[in-house]
Amino acid sequence: MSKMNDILLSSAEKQTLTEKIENKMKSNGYDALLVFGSSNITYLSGGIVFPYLDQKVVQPVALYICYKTGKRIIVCTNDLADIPKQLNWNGEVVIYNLNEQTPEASIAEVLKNYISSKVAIDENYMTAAQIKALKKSISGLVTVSGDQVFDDLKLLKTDAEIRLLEIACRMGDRGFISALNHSEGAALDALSYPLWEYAERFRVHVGEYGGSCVGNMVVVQGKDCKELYARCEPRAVLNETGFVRLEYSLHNSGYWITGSRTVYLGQTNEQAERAWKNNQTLKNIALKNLRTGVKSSEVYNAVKRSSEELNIPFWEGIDLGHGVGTREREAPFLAHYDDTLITEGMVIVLGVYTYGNDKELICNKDVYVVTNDVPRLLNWYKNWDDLYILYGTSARHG
Amino acid sequence: MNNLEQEITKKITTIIDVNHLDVLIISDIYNIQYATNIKIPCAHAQSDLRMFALLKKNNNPIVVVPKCWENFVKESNHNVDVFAYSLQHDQLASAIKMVFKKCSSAKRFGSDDELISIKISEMIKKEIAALGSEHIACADDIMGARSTKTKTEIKHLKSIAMKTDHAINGYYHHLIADRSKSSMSISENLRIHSLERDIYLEGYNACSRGVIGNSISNIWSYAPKFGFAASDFTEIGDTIIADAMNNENGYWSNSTRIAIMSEEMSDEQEIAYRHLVELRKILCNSLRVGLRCCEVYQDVVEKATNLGIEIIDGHALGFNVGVSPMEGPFLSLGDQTILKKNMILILDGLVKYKSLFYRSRDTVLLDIDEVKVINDYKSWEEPYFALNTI
Repeated sequence: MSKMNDILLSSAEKQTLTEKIENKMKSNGYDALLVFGSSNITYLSGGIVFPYLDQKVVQPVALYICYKTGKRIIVCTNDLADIPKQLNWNGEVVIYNLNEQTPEASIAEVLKNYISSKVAIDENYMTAAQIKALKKSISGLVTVSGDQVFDDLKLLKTDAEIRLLEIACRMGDRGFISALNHSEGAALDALSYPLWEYAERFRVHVGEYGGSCVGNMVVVQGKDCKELYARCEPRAVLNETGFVRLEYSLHNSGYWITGSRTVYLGQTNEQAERAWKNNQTLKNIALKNLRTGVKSSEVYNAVKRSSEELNIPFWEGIDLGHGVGTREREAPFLAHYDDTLITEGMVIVLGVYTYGNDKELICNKDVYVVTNDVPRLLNWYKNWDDLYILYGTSARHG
Repeated sequence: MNNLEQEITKKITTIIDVNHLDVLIISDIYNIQYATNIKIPCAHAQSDLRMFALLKKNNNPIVVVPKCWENFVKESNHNVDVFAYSLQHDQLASAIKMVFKKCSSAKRFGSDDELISIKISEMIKKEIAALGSEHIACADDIMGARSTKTKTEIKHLKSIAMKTDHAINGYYHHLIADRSKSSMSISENLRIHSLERDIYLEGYNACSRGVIGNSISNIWSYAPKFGFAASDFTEIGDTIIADAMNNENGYWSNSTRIAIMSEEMSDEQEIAYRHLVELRKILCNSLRVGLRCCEVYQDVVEKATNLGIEIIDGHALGFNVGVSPMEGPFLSLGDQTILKKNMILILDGLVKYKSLFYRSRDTVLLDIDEVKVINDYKSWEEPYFALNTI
């Protein structure tokens, strides 16, 4: 099998990751953990993914691990119980029924049979209602926040995690290219091409190339391109010459990346080309400064200085990038406020929002793994240094 | 304000009045959308970026958002006052600081903080205590308000429920028994056929998936590809179980329907599908305004068991739908909520027969003396049958 089709963590890779986690937890004095956040469940379990947990389309799931006893339990409702088995979970699965007034109380009533000692919990995810239910069910429950340790662990990826993220990048780029290929046959002809279909073609092709799920999916053109997001009207079509931007996120087996790709609809012009070149200039300055031992804020500050020197304004409403992993947005943040040291093994999505001639926000994000040399590009599938022209008038070919 | 905004504002005002609140702080993403009609597409996933809404009687809602979302929110609803915080080392602290700057004179704070993270809940309570003010838990009030729908909400939910059923049927129309389909292709086409009917573009939980053949032995097959299903191919006679969740006007549908890759069912499929139809009938007959959810659950379980229908132990037989695809109350053993007029419920028909799970989800509107199915583009007394060949 091609390594790019090997989309799951192997047993050995899971072992490496879970040992790393266990060592860190023990060194911080934590004997047990109990988490409810989807990102933490996937990370701390070594790759178990549940559907739509953040959006609450399914009932809550808990992961409990006790390093003293070796107990590893996933607690979920009956409909989800087959998922851990499908993903080769090596712990127990305990089913809870909705026997109490709320799902939170129902899961707490089951967890009380397993939790006795102090546990590290994810206070950034676990709801106040959930902890209230747990404290009611488990007398003497002692909890401490494990969030900082979980976040610290996630900062540096194992080789296997980097591999999964690299595969996600390839899925994303292939999905995006497919969206372009579908739309450029009809973008400018009388048939036109729906804006939703441009985004949807991205989504379905990510699936066809092996992706697990697409998250964010915003497509903007014309004056809407001046904003980060805008609503896609159901009947809108690609019909405004100028920049078109797609914001997206997707995951491969629980490992998320985010992206932003801008193309130009119709015949380009000198101003558009210059705007694109300016964008690349600032992005390359950020990339040049993305080196081990440098503070995250210094990457941002270097871009800001260059922006002033070169008179290339950029949108300062958001960071220039952030980590990715089992969440689509995690530390470090390439922003003025984050002094985290850039370190080998971090995986960071990088992109600068600069302006087109009509103040459109243009951006081209790529994902890099930090090495002790230059960062290694994980979005290597296609080079996006040149402005991509979306242009086509042929009859629709399917 | 449009009709929907007026109706929801009235409900929120009631919560404020009943609890004698000076201000209601809303933190849950779905509650914010309910109260302000503002929805950020990635808010659930990018949870370090926080949004809050502050509601005071006879005032425009105040919405506090990170700078990067400011303009989008302003464009989403011109009847809210938007305040943006710049991203700092601790985004949450920046957001909370701005929230309380806007309501520092309040003495009674309502909050839905039970529904959000412990960290945020504690910060809100700490700030209220620091002001010497009173914290009133309002999560149940808001969820209660959400559970019974207004006239416009019913209109939106009926529309999207029917469109989704139409979309599923629209896709099933392409099925030909002797032409194999992959589960992935079914997933894609369910979404495409939905989007063709003017539903809103959605990522994340806009679930559409087809599970086929013996893969229906797992309820969530093809892990971890829940968004897309997988390369599993139909054979003649296979069962297809199609899930579709769609959004229109901010309101969700949550539907599941069955197709058979043949013009007739096998004996096993006949029995399993008959169980689903019977379960639907039992559910619709048992649902009554004034009963508790747990009473309906117990009644249905008993009747289903008597008919030899194997339902899943502990699985809720239904739930509410609205600005989120699944919300309480749940038709479960533990839920004591009393059913009310104008609740819109998803009846989660799920039966097991010979190790396979068969599912069909109906959407019903609860009235005083009627339970009306609102997603019956076609009658689901029988599944969709594919043409044998053309």
